[in-house]
Amino acid sequence: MSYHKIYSYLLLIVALSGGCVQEFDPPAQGYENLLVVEAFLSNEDEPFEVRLSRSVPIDTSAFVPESGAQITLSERDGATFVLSEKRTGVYQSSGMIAAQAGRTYQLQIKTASGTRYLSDEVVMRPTPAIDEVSFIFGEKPNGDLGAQVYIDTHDPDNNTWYYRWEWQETWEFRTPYNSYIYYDEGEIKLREEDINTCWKSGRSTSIEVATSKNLSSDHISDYPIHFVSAKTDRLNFRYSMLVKQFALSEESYVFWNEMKKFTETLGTLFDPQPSVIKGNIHNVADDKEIVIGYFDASEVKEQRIFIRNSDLPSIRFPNYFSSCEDTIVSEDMIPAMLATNYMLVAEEMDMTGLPVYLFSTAGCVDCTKYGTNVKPPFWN
Amino acid sequence: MSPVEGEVVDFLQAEEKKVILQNTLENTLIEVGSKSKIIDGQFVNLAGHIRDSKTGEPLIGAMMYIDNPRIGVATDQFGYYSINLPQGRLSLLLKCIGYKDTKRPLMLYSQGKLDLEMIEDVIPLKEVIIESEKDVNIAGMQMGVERLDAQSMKKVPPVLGEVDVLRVALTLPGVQSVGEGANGINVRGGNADQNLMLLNDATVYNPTHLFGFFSAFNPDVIKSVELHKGGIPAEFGGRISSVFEVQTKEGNNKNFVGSGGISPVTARLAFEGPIVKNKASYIVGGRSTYSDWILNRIPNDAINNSTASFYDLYARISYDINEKNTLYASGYYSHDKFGFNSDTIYSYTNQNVSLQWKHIFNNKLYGVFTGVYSGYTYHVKSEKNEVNAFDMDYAIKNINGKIDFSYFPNSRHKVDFGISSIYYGLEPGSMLPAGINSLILPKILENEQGLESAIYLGDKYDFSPRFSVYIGLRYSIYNYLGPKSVNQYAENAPITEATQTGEKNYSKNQVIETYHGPELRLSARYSLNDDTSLKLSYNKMRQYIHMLSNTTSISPTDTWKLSDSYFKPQIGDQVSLGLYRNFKNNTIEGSVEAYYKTIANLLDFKSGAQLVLNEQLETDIIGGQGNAYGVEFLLRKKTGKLNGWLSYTYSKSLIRIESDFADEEINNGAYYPTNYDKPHAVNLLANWKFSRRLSVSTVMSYSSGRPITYPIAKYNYNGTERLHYSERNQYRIPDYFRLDLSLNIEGNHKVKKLNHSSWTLAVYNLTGRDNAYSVYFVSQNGKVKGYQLSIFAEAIPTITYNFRF
Repeated sequence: MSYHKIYSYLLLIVALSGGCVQEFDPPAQGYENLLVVEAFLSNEDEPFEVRLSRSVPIDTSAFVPESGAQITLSERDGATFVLSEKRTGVYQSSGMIAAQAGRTYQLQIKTASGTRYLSDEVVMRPTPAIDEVSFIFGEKPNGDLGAQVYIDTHDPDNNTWYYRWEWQETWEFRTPYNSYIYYDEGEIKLREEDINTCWKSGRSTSIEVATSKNLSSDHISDYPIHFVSAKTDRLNFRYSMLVKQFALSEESYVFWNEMKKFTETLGTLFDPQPSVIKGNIHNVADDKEIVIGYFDASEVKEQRIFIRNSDLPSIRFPNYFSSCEDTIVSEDMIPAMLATNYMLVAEEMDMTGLPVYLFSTAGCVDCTKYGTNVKPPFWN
Repeated sequence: MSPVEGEVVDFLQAEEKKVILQNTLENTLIEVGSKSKIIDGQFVNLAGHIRDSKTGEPLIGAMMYIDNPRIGVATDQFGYYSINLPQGRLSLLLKCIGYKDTKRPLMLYSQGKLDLEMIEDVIPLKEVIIESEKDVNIAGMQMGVERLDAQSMKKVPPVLGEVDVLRVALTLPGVQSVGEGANGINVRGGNADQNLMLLNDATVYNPTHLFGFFSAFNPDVIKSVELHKGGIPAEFGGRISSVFEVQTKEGNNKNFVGSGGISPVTARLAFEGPIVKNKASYIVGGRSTYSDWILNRIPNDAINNSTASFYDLYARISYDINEKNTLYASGYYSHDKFGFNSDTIYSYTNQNVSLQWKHIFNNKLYGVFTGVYSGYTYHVKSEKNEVNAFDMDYAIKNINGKIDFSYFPNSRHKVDFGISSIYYGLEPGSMLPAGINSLILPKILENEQGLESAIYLGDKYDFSPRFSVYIGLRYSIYNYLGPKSVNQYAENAPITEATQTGEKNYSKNQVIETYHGPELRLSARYSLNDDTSLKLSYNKMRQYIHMLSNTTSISPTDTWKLSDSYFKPQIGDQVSLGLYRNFKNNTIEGSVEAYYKTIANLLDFKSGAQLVLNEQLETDIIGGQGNAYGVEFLLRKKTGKLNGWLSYTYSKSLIRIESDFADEEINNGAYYPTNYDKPHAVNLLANWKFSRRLSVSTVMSYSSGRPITYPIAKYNYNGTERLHYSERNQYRIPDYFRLDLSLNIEGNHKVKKLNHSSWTLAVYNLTGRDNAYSVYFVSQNGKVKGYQLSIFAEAIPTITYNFRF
């Protein structure tokens, strides 16, 4: 059963039985300190990055990076790349790896304490192109309104079968007051920078994997990758999503799928039992040690879509600025206003022809408080 | 005269008639045999049926005995008895739950037949105690057996308005489930698939409706339920934990009557009556739910687009051809269907047909020839996404032929013997594309066939009134049959897809694998005195069919699997010892039973096992060693204004999965608790009768939380917090507690009134405690959250109207 089916199933049972689901803080029991390795090699135009950290007890919020390790990536019958620690726990190659599909790679880690870890050898998989990223705007069965984004893909060679996706989202938003002037040492100056229109972005946090293994040809049809809720401000102006597609080996699919099953989709009557998730990185001296992580290598294929508000039905989208108000003051009041949390928006004339100044709080004027006003390169 | 007084008078008149009838019966001398043959002190055989005086329904477990010398017998499942008694003047004493204790003066000249009738005790207000009577509990051979009759089950507070035999069974010591609304029961630390669920000798593969909220058995057609937890007689085999035997009524062979009930979620109706008066009768019953109608009214799109429905039908015909031959035919069909968001539809059905011919060769020997068909199928259909639209099917079918003989050579022996053979045909699964646009790869798993045969002999022998022994031997043999291609794996390597070396093909009916072995069954009873007895039993059981589930409770898509080259039969050995003592003139029964059980080849699954449509199940399932032990305390009061029972059980259920290969081990080969290991359990069931028309019943249930695999660390992966879990089943969910209350109001007792009705007002989970069914952890938006899922988390009041006509 897929996640949404299980979710509905749960709803149904809870409804029929007067049952309920309650949130609680799980107490920590029997902590295990494990090495966590995040290492994914792709053909992207970026240095190869590995993140090392340690597991923590479940009632803490600490993040414990693993510093001081020596990491090398070796290509079979090829070069060896040494990674250096860029930030605590984050290691990078000094240049591009120029990884290629079909080549075999292996990761080696030596922690500061001297323990050596070795990954299994993995072959970089070729990834077919995404056929289409599409969306349908409407109501979900549970009543949520929004845009459901789907992926379609296929491998004409019928050789991929296992897929994983990540996405990055970017959306435009605007403050209600477009400030075109500012006050600088007694002078009113024209603002060159746009602080009215900004962009926010986010990225996928859930694991999106699928397989076409039960189909006669290697097709993924309408995989629901993400639901953009109309309850957020994402769809107010323009929204964009970049979807990255990776081919997986069967073994890495099992890894990702178990991680998804055991950490994202539990909570039904018929849950599978969670268990230790098997990765492909091992302590050279002690095979029993559990290391979390799967070193994988795959090509990446991307596609971007845009969702414009004008493409959507005219419904009321949430306005995060509905409480914004403005104040009009005379020139002599400007320094006093600026001493508070107010920003100058515009110059106007009062009925006598004297200039007055429109102010509003910074949070209603300056969009860079929430996002960036640097227009993304793909935003046309 | 006021109407109320009128009722009372009518009732009293009816009772008076019963008393008169009783007196007449008790004072009329019955003569059996021909006078010429009498030899003083000589034992002769007396056999016959004991029936209900009003409906002609045979009574199961009715006791008949004489005091001097002390000789007694209980009727079998057909209401039949055979007993050797001394010739001469005797006083037969009769006792049966729900019936007036009575006696019959008998002049026994020679071997003969005697059918007896007992009068139903509708409202046993007075405690009728026969001083000299020794109770079944003390005098009976059996241990680890619980019998529940329909009458007492109806007093248990129902959930959602339905009387449920499985739920009542859960109040007995040694019987547990993994949680509220979970399918299946766990008996003495055994898995849910280790119970032989029988409906008139036919196996019921999925004994529940609607996610496990209701049992599959219609309370209106049930006569009694017998649960064997230990000391299982030799005639039963094929499951290692228990036998759960549901007996239905034969039907009223005197008058046409009907009964039924309406509750908020379900409605049921049953008819019974004579086809030929006193010779042939029928009973037909059906149930259905209108939960669909309710779902459609819940203001949530996800729910009101969902569907959940079930119905079941039952019919039985009994025909006494003549004194020596009786025919029974019965059929059962149940259907469940549920779907969410009009997307995927799940449905499943049970089908059972059984034919029985009982032939009495002579007073001392009778045989029952039985033919049974049982089937279980499920179907999953998804059409939402054209490309992925599919139809999935699963089916298991068996045909069972058996002959059982009961032989009563003399007053000290009772011998049972017989043969049985079951042919299994399994369609382990198929997935086919639905619609022209579907790209679903047709996948059809090869059918499986198996033949399970057994021969048995059991003898109960009374050395003395104080000491009796039962020795039974069952020999079972199982063949896994072709046609089938069997996966072969490299030797001395773990069984994985990677180590597969090829396939070996077997032709039709070719024997692929054979397992066989003896199953010894022993019981002994020794009475220390009139009120106290000690019982000891041992039984070995072999199980050739297994249910595969990697979820904690049974789900409709769990599959049954036959033993094959890789799945060895599960073998259970159980020793139990019990001490039984009755107090206060046998009105209170007390017992302590301890058991120790080992199970070979108990199945568990590897992490992340995929069980549906798996062509290589042997790579995902591993056999281990099971170990269960416990001690059960029970105090029961059967009669009086206040009756019921209180039980406490301490039990453990463990499993160990060891292998030469680390990949095949779970928890590094150490013993760990099974999913259903709940060490402490306390159950109280009490009925209090205020008056003839008003009674109150309560159930109180406490048990330890079941084991879970708990997160012991968290980490960040791919930008999100995730969890690292402990070894399997190392922690527990919170303890379980529930209190139910019901009020039963009987309609008036006007005898001639067409409609006899009763109301049941019940509150399930009165304290509204939100018992955890499971706790689970989900990473959402990058953070780990803990959740507790509760079913029936509020007090659930229901009202049920029951009627008889």
